Amino acid sequence: MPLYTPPNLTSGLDDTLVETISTVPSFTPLFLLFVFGVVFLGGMVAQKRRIGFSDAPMWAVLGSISSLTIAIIMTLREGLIQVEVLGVVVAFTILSGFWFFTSRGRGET
Amino acid sequence: MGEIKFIAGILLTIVFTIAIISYVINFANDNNAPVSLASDPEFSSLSSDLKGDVQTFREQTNSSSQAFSESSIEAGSDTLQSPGVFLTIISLPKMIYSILSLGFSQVFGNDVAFGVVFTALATFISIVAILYIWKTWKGGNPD
Repeated sequence: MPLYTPPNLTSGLDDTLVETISTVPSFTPLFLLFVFGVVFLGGMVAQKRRIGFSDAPMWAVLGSISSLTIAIIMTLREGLIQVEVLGVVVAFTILSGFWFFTSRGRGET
Repeated sequence: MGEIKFIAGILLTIVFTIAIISYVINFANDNNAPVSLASDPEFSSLSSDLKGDVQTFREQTNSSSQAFSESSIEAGSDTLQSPGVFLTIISLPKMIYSILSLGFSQVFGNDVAFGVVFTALATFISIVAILYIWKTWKGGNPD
C-alpha cells in the first residue's frame, strides 16, 4: 500500500499542484512562509555582511511583498490558495509596512 | 522618532494599506480570479473607511491651519491658549487602530490571548501621539 496517492502528473503543472494542495492543505501557507523567510533572512544576512547592520523592517516588507506577489498569482487558479490565506498575507504585508514606516529614527530616511 | 516622523510614518502606513488592498482587489476583478479578497468584506470596508478618514484629516488640517494663522500670542506668553490646532493628530491613531485591529484579527484570529498584545500596542501609539501634542503645545521642540 503506498504511503500517499500520487497526483496525476499528465494534466499539467497547475492540476498537479491543486491535487497536492488538496491532499496537504498546509502546502500553500508553508510555501509562502518559505518565500518570506528566504527574502527576509537572506536579505538581512547579506546586508549585515556588506555594511555591518541589517534593516529588519525593510526586509520584512520586501519578504511580505514577495509572498504577496506569489499569492495573488495563485488566486488565478481555484484550489491553489484560500481566501483566508490571502487575507493573512495581505494583513501581514500591512503590518510589515507599519513596522517599516514607524521604525525610522531621526535623520533616517 | 520626532513628531514629523511619527505623523509621516502613520500617514504612509495608511496610504500603503489603501494601496495594497486596492491592488489585490482590483487584480482579482481585472483577471476574473476565482479567489478574491473582495470575498472578505472587512478589507473592502477598511479601505473605504480609510479613504474617508484621510479626507476628514485633510479638512481638519485645513481648518486648524486657518485657525492657527488667524490666532495671536499675547505678549509675555510663549504658548498657545488652546491645543486645538494640534488635535488633528488625534485622528491618526484612530486610523492606525482600524488597520492594526484588522491585521491582528486576520493573523491571530479573535483569540483573547493575543488581544492583549494588540491592546498594549494601540494604547502605546495613542500615548505617543498625546505626548507629542503636549510637548509641542507647552513649547517644546516638535522635532
